[in-house]
Amino acid sequence: MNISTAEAQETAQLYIDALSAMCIVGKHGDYHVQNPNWIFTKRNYLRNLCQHWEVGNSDELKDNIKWSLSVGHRKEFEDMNLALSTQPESDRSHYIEMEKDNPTRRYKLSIVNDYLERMPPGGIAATDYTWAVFKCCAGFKLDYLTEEEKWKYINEIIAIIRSNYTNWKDFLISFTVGSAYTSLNRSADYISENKALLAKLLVSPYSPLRKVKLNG
Amino acid sequence: MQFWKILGIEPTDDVSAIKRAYAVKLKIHHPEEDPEGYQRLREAYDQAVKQAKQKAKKAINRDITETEDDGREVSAALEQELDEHEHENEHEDEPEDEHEDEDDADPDHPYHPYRLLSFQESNNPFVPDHPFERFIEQIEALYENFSLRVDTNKWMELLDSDAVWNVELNRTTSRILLDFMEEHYFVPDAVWKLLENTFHWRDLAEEDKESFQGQYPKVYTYGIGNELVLNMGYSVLLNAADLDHDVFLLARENALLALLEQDYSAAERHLRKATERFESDPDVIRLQIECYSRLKNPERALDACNGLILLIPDSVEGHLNRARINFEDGKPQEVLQDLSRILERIPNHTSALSLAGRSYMKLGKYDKAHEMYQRIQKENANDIEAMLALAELSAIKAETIKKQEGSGNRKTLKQLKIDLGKTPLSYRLKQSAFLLLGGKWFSLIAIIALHIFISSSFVKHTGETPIRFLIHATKPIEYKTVVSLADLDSDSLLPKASTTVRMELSKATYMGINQVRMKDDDGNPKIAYLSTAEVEKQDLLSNISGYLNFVILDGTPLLILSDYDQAKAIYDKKTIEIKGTVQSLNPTLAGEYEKWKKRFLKADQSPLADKYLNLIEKPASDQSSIPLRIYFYLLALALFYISVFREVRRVTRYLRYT
Repeated sequence: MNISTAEAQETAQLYIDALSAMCIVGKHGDYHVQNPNWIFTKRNYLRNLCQHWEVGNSDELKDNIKWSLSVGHRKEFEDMNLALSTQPESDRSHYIEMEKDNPTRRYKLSIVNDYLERMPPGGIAATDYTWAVFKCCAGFKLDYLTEEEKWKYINEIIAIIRSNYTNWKDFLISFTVGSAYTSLNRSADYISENKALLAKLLVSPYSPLRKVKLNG
Repeated sequence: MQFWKILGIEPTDDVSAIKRAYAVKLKIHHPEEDPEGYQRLREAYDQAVKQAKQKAKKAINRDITETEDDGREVSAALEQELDEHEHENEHEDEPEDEHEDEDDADPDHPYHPYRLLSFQESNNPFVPDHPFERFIEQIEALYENFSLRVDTNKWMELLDSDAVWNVELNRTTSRILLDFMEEHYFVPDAVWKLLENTFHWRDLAEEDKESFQGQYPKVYTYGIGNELVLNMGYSVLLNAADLDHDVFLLARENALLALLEQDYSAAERHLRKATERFESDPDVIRLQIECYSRLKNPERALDACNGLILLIPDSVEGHLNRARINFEDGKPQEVLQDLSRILERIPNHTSALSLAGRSYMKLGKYDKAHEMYQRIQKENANDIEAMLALAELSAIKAETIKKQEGSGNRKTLKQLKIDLGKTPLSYRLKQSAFLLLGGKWFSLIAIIALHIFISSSFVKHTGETPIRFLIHATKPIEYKTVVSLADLDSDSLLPKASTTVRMELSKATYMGINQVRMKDDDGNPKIAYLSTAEVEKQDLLSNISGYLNFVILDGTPLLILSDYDQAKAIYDKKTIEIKGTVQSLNPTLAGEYEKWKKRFLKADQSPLADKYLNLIEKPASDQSSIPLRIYFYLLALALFYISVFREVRRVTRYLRYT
């Protein structure tokens, strides 16, 4: 391995640490932020995650990653965004309430409405890209991807992220709103419950987000 | 294809034939005498006409000329029939009355010309004075007049007719209206609601959604489906003079659909068509703002915002979008002016508060920015933008306070650190202990167990604990200083560890005898003592392992076995400071001395001391060797320590993360 590849991988690893730091919240959130490789030693946990993503083999993982990069959850978010933004502000609540027979859609519309015209460019794309990177690392640990494939995907995703985001605050907003949007519990409470973790991620001098720049 | 059977004709594309067949059957299935039969007949008629029209459309490719020709043909046929009829009437002997009924019943002349509708009209049934015909005429008139069309009361009056409320007629009326509304769907949402409440089309759609959507896509979209996004205002168009409302409304609809499809260029074209006809529709202006914003054309978007504000001075969208454009343009003061108008009326308007917060931050007015974001958080504790902005502001404030002096700042700083997510040290320590013990409990237990096991094995094999063993192993060799022969006495020496001695020798003599490693006749290694000449003769210079010397100590000769440098020092200087071990004199060495003494008669003839000093051999350790399996235990112990150490490192990183 020549030096430039090793250096490139070292830089890419900083991005991976920064991105995967956002993925785990709760009691062990701070611990995970400071030790981002720790989660990838938990093979059982990674297998459970793959089950949740409906990924059982290499091909399914690759399809999942490709979907995240080409379509992702951001497409649906953007469609809802467009539908709400073309309506008069006074009609939006009524439009959302009309979805009483579809609680998931109603919840998603409410999230979109909360952040209408406040989102960074790209909507919730950060969610798709971050989890795609996480899946690459998890897939490598579970032997669904070779090391070469892992780095190929990760380098591609990092390039896309850097071309779409200029600062970590926007990225964090995009990721967090996306996480609330895709929440299976139809609840955004995890934001207020992890206020300290999210704040530290942005402003702490020890945060992995401080070790690598998006626009550098 | 039951409907052809019901009509009693072969499948045909000829709508007039279908109408004639319908009229014939109508005499048999009168609506009031046989409502079920009439219903079946009516549905059959609808199906047949629809099929015929579809085929006609495909065949002539919407050729209106041919339709007109057909119309003229029918008119000509009508005229011909009229002529024939009149001619017959003139020449027949029977009184007209007698044949009137027969004419009515005559299948060859099933209809009278004055009943026939134009071929170009819609597929209304050929029935004079029928409630359905009256109803459709009224609907058409209502729709034609825009001011009536948007008046829900007028629709209510219309729907309060026998054609609607008569149970037997309601279904047919519903279908007539479905057909009509499919082509004429630009009515306010209130009218759609009224129609739904009257005819319950949603229930009909639910019976076969796909089919209903396929047949009545516009009715489904506007009236039944939840596509409220397509419902826009109509009342403002009442003010439009000389406006072709439907052309305008179609352009507006197309603009919205294009926007939803993210075809912004097409949206712009349709919006232009709409505004060319009428430029004061707030819905169109709102769509323009959205369209130009997405086309990254801030100037036009700004024009649209100004237009909207002109129309509706308190328009939230107008002010908010203008503020947004000015923010991107780097004009925070203008932004705040627009936003203050919104916040005066709606103090908790999140978008306005968010934009105000960002503007204040740009202006460096952090306290005001803080206030804006706190207001957002009060409305929604889960607002991530407010949360992160407040964290940023707290960090800025903390930095500022750190640079300032003053004891009052400490409390503020402490609070700020809490706002920034700092957890108390006691909590972090507790969590750290939990993480360490919880994650490495097995390793910790193994470490303790291995320590106990290794210690007991050590004691068993070496008689010492590992620690004492290590101390002894690392302790520097103690040399007893010897100045007299008595000091070499074994009784005065310390236990065997102290056979190492240090001496200063004066008047030592090199004897010229060398200790040589050789092999005996059997090839076994042996030690011999040879003179230098002998050594050279036998070419054993490289086999010399020591040099014999002696010193007179308290009048007694003491042998010293030294290395070359020491022997040379003795030879050159006669004095030397040495360190070595005291060993018992062996007979070989004693014999060599005696031989040498005989050669040098002047040498001291006193008997040799029963010990000699060996300066060559390293002091032998009196410790026992460690068994091999202890090394394996030590390796396992090391691995567990490494594992725990790595966890300690991780926990340390967590502990310092504030």
